[in-house]
Amino acid sequence: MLYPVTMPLSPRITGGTLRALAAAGRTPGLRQLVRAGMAPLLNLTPLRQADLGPDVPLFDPAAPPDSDLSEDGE
Amino acid sequence: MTLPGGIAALREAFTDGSATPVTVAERFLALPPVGGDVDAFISVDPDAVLAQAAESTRRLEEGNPRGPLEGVLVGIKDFYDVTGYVTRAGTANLVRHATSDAELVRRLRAAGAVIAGKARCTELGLSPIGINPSGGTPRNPHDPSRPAGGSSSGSAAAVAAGLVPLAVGSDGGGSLRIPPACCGVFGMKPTFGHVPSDGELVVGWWSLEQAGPVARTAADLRLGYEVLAGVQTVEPDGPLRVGVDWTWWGVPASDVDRVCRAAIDGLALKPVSLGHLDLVRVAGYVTALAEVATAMHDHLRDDPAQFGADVQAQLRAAGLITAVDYLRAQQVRTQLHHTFAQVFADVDVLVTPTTACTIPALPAAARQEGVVDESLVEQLTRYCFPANLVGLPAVTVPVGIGDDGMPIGLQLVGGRGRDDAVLALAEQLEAQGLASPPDPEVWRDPLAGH
Repeated sequence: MLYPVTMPLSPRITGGTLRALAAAGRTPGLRQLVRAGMAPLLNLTPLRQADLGPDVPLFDPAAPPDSDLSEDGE
Repeated sequence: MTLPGGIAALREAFTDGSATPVTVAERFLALPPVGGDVDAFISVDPDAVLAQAAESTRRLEEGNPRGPLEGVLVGIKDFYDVTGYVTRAGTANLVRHATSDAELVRRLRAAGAVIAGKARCTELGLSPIGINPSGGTPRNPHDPSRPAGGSSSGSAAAVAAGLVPLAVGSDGGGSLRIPPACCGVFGMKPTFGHVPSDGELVVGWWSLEQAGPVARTAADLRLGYEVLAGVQTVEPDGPLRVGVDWTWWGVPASDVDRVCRAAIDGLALKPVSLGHLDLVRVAGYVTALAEVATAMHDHLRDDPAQFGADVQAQLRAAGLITAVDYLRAQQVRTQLHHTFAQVFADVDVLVTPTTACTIPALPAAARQEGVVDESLVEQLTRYCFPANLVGLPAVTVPVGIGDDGMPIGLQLVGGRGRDDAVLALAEQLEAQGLASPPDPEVWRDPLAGH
């Protein structure tokens, strides 16, 4: 199942805290971003581990609605 | 009480003489639309509004209306140029003094619309929550202490509160579905490419975004789409085949689940399977953030403090995305395209909740300081991103309220180019009494003279 449970809200960080970090010379880095609840966004592992291969063409948003988006065209 | 506020009510008032475009415009300006208890607009030019309304009134008196939107006030998201206004896309970093109208604005004017002004939005259209510390945060008409959802926050709040019967927004990851759902009105993201983007302030979202309408009725939503897209829709042949993927539906908040299931209870639903969608969320984030961070690269490099801290954080996070990640995300989109194409061979429309939760109350400081909460973002965008990733048309219809009294939306997704199907199902649900805007706490209908 894609989303098996209702996710609890993560701890939030406000812009003021981020600004305070920046004012102290600590520009928000990866650790701060993760603490800020951005871990789901930053988790690229599923994408990097997916089986895609060279035969899967890149998506073309302007392709006709009935396009099969195959490499050898429609 | 069921509040009207639709275009039909305006037409009736113009016809029976109880109102004119000028009297409606005067009442609209007196609300006021900028500030006030909804604060949906960032800028309104009173002289321009009254001049348009006067011309519209004259045309109606002469029996020569321009089109189906004659005299109708329409709000425009601050992504699109309106002559004489500044376009900002919700950020202080970008200021474009518009010397001509965006194409979609030209189409609205040609249909007789009175352009009401520029509706607020979240910075760069990034936040689906609706908070914008620098550009202003509209208040949700159902609970002014809560945001309206984003990014087309002002467009949805203005329609929900009755300030205007129709507004234009844009949607790169749910921005024409999340705010209307959070505010209890109808919203539509058309098929990618159906509405021209000429005259849009480009802030990324190249392969994802589409302009579309927000309205109080399904008929007005259809009319808005027809004018924006420059098409005349036709009714689908035969009854609509409606499908549901219960795995995709998953487990939203219990009140969202209950209200949305009740709305579709009478439909003959065909169970379908889109398979595993676990790569969709990451492909959506990667595509959206990479495109916005690329478009804003020079601004972020030269003057990052011009962006809100929450937006800075997200744009910095985009720096972790590699070129390979972005291209693999485009491959995921191709796979998703094939998956949806197979499903839409058997059904015309898929239904899901629009969001997995109602819009929550946030700490008071968030309104001034911004907020980063990717868990909440995930709950708001969960059902919306797939339509953007493969360019599908999608509508949200208001189907009830949650345990906290906030509106809940049901999403209708069609195959590419099947905008007619999602509009038809929206009208069907409305006609059956299953979809209608709940009465808001704040109601400011210019027609009623509040």
